[in-house]
Amino acid sequence: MPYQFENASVLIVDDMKPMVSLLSSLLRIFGFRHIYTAYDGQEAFKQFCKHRPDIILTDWMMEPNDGIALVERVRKDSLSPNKFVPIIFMTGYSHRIRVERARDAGITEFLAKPFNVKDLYARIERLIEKPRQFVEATDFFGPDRRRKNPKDYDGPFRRGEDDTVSEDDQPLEVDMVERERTELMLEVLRKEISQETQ
Amino acid sequence: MPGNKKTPGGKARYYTPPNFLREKVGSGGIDPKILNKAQTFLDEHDVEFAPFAARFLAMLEEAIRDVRSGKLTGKAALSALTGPIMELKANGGMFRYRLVTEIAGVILNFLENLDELNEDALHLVDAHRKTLDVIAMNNLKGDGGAEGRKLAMALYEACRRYYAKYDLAPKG
Repeated sequence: MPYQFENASVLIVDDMKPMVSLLSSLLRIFGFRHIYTAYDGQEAFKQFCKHRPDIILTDWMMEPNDGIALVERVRKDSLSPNKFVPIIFMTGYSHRIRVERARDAGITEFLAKPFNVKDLYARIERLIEKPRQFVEATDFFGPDRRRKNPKDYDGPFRRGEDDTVSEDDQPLEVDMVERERTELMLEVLRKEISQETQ
Repeated sequence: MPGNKKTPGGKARYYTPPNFLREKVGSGGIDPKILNKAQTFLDEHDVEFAPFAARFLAMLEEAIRDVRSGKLTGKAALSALTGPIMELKANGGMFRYRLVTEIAGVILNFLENLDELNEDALHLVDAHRKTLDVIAMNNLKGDGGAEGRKLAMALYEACRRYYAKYDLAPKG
């Protein structure tokens, strides 16, 4: 039997109204029936407290409270009704530093805009099939920033082991199309710079 | 907290939250026909993007002006420029303006690799802004075909020449 999305709820947060409308329509086609919407981080937190959605799908850049502030509030605020709620973070930024900033705020999945339907579905599927463990440290609370099984943890050398990434131990992903495009451009650029400077 | 486990070093705790989503939706994936239907909806979804593009381009023009006048400097200047460009890149492609996304993506990537701005960089940003303005205001949807590709490559080449001139390497 396929996923029964009609049993789950989602909160969509984006300051672009056409984007909220588009996402709502796509999720309805997937089968979701309980869809809540908000247009900035502040309103979103109120909706989150009121409806306790199973998934939050949020944009980054919004006024007066942006997506990062929302994520941090959901993860840390004492009023948050579910600090473990899965958060899919959407943005046009895809530079490594930006992805790391979002990851460090406590997002669950990163979805670079523009995206296609498969990209969107893949993130939702991953929330269901590969949920992240949570980590609470002095300066961080959120999903494990690597899909690593803490059962493997064996003392003080963990930081060194972090450099090894296995198939099941992937860092947070930017979608493939975006990454391939960026990497291709950078590769061409590096080669050409190298040729010009020789 | 559910599934609470303290690490041996005592510095971090791991939790395994209950998978409520799995409990609610079950398993079995999604019918590929539904994904196709959703993709068709996305491909055919028509939104008048020009007013949104105009707003972001006006923000960008103002940011360029403020940087040139010295009102904005450093990280604030870069941030004021990248914000509207990122919005154009993100939303253009969602609403069938693929060429807007391509060109905005080129200049966004360029800016994300800079630590500081100068007049040459601003000139490049402004060239991209004017190009984006023409595309959006003329409702040029899609990727622009071969001409669109050429245009994007020409702008990309300009960014490349900037890197070469200032002996910079993209940070990735």
